[in-house]
Amino acid sequence: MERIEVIKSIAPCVTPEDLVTTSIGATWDDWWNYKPANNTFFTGTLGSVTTTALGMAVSLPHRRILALESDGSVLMNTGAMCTLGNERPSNLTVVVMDNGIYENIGGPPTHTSRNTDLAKMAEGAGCLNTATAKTIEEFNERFLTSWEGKEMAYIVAKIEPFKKHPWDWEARKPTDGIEDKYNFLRYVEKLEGVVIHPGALHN
Amino acid sequence: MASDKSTDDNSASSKAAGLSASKEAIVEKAGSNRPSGSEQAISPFATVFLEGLKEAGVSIVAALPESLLASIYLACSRDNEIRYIPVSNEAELPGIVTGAYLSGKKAVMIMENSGLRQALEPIVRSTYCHSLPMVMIMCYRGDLGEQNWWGHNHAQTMEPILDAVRIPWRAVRKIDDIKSSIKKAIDHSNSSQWPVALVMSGECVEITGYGKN
Repeated sequence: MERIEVIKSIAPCVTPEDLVTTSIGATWDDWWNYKPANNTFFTGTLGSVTTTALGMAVSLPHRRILALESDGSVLMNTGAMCTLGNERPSNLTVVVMDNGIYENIGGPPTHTSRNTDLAKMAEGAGCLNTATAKTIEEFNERFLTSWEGKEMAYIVAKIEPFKKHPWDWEARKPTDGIEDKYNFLRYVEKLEGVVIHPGALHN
Repeated sequence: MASDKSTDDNSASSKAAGLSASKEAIVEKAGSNRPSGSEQAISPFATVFLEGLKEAGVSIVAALPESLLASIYLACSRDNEIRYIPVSNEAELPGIVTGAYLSGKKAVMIMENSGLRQALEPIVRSTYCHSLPMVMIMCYRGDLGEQNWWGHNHAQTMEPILDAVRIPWRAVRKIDDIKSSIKKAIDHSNSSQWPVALVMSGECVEITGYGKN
């Protein structure tokens, strides 16, 4: 199973009414090309994807929240899955793209390439509906059930290492972190009918 | 005999631990700001603090509890209008308040000032990558008059770290200043799209006379 297959499976299920946050890395460019709207916050902090999604989930309990995590990000802040297991927000689904390597820096192995099992860790942390999917068929079945379900879910997608989709330069995510913030913030303002940042107020 | 000795050792060690803990408790509780008689009581500063959060529109508090602001954590966890999220590591806090802010809610993070060191990478990434507001509230462990040897480094490192990463911070020492400080910190953080830190000491921690000067 390749990352781009997982992204292609997820994308049609995510509506402009849902909110998404993603881990830094190759997922950025893949999701950029398939996201249904500016409903995604591209988190620039490794280790803060699950926590950012948790903040969204408790703030907007009427919306579905999707966290596109990565093994490197989860491993950097493992306490976050314990807090997630403690809170169990029913509107949050976490998908971990687990390729067992730090792909963007050339591919040194992460701990999941040897003995670490993130789905078992999440289960032990108290998360609900934890699973590991090794084929796209397994993933599709598990994701669809979870995404339409009424409880949180934590799905680890074991994707092949060294299979970055070869996007042309023009197709890669062109925005920086500040533009990403404003894109998402303004999107949520319209979606929720609220003012989050009133703009550059001055005397 | 071996098991007897082992039992004796355990007993001695637990007695020693108990003695040490009670000594520390005497030091920490000398002149407690908490109403006497209950560990579950809420100190007056914490009651004002909770009112200040609500008046400023805060509905989400993420925190890693510690001793100097103990009744703030307790008050927030008991309150029906506050969604209280306890974490296991301060590095979880920036993400939670960021997610809440981007979803249109007012949230604050609360921790010991040593937690600043633990949470620094996500704080700095969020700040410098995204220019995001973040109101962080921490106790001023290590403020003047600190009696714990291990507490001094908290202040020694907190002050230059906040300055180094260009985060404006103010000490809050008087109960009368709590509400206006919370309001100003949120306004300042939102308009600057940058973090602000409030560092609690003086009347605004559990020990009377702590960091008064």
